[in-house]
Amino acid sequence: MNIYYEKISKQFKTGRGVAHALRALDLTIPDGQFFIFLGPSGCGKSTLLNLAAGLDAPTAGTIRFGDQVVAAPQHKIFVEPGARNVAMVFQSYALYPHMVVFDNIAFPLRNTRAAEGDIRQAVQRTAALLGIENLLQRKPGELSGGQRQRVAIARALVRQPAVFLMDEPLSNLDAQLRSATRAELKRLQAEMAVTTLYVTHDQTEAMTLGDQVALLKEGRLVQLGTPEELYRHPADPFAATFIGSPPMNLIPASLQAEAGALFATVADFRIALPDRLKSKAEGLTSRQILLGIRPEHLRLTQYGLLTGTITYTEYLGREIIYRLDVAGHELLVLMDRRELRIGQGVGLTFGDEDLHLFPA
Amino acid sequence: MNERRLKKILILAGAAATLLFCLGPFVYMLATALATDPEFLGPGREFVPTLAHFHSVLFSESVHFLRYLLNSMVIAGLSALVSVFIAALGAYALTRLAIPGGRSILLIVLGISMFPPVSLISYLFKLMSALGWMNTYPALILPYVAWTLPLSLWILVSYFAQVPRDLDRAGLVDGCSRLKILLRIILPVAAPGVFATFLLAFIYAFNEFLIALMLTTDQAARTIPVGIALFEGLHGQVAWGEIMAAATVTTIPVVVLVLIFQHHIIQGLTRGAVKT
Repeated sequence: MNIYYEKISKQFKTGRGVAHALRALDLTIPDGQFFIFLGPSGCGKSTLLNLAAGLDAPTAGTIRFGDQVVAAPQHKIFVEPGARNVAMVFQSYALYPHMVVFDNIAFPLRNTRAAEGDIRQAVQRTAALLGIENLLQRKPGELSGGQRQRVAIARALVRQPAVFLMDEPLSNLDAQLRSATRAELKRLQAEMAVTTLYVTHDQTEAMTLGDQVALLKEGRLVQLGTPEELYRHPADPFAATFIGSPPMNLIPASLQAEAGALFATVADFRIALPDRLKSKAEGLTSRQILLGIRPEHLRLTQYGLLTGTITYTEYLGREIIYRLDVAGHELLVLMDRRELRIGQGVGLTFGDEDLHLFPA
Repeated sequence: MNERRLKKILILAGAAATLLFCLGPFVYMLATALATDPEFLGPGREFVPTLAHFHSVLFSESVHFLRYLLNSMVIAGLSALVSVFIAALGAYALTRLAIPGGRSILLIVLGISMFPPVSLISYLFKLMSALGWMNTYPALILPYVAWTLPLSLWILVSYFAQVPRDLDRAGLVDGCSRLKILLRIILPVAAPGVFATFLLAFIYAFNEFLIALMLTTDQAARTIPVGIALFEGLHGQVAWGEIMAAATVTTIPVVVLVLIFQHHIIQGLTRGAVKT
């Protein structure tokens, strides 16, 4: 079932006026996809999820699940969350603390007046899927964080929802458990092939889990694409720095054309731009640009296109981050070698294909 | 003597003083109820224990004590129940739904609760007479519900505000109506607060004197506080022994209620709801 957001706006009344959480946003989520809403806090990603769940109503626009309109304020249509056949996993898990795990998982089914035998079977099956059969008679208070997380997922899966909504479900787990659960979520989603909307501010989660990622900022869609597209072809400086860790280096530069060839100058350095950036450069109104290059695509050499001095190093184990001062700009380099010292002068090289160009 | 020891002694002294202050009257009440001579503390008198006062309070027909006790328990129980239920609906709405002016509603309720009951008493008297409800249970339950409602509402609002909002959201997604969320999720999770509120409302209604005095005429609806105040001795003198015995018996239901609910009140039911 496809999910459509059409010209969705959402405003909140606050003490100091009206806050725009979403501004005329259009999005289509194809059936069966693991779809990520990514962005910093306040970008509207959770609002998008709440709108799909029916926990919030849009100020304007239409939300459709397949052919069914679930929210359209201009036509006074609003389908209650319980009638949308969606399931949600909350960041806080939101387990019912007074019920044992079995009753927690059975709760959404009991609300549909299913037969008790069927409920028992569905709960057992789901619990087995998540490996929590031995916890069914415990209360949430007696469970560890990871176990609670599984119960929350089981409660969402149990009635085989049409849409699966997840609001930062992994952010309360410790790092090790998070990566294990991430892999398991991916597997579960692929097995059940349920359209999944997943909210996160963590670009690693977005990259590893998503079939597609919608990057949001201040209520607007910045870029929509596969994780690889977002990584390789960021739409703007925000996308370039938000995706990837450490973030992409952006160096202010000015454009120059000479005999049909394009150059970017940074202080005394002149960098020849590849032909593929030509059309993009021609579309710019200003000659002031930002030159983008990812830390992992920079190499330290003796002589390079750029030269600078090392100001700081961060040791990460397998890799190391060098902070460089290049003509007054700070550049990050991520690489394996580590026999370089602070204060040492180095040269920098990079491949043409790794160069990005943005309007300043 | 070191500082630590001094501290310990001071704490014990403070605790003893508090205990004496709180339980002293109760002990005196119990002693008087058990004494043959209520003036046993006077010069030349002595304490001779007897159960006669209890016996006469509990078993003599003309005293109607057990009937008063029953009236009190039913009236206070029903008042507290209705009060807590209405307050729960209100507290849910005030903490969960976007009600315009929610804060001012709470303040107005607080303001209204400060009206002294005595200013309403003549109106209540006229109202209940007109309704023909004088000397019946509803005549007391209705004012008691109204009187305890502000208190119940304020306490429940503070308890409900602590129940994580995500539980409501989970309930909505899982297919509950708002009422079902209140009954199946919020009330059980806030159970300690609900029990505490019920107890407080019960004790308020159980102790109420003025309204009960004005709106009841005999044992059909008269409650304990009025019953005890109107106790008449055999020969016209104040029957201290019987009064104290009756007061002692009266504390029992309240103490029992507290003991029953104590477990629920202390138990941290919200444990494990959400990660904190």
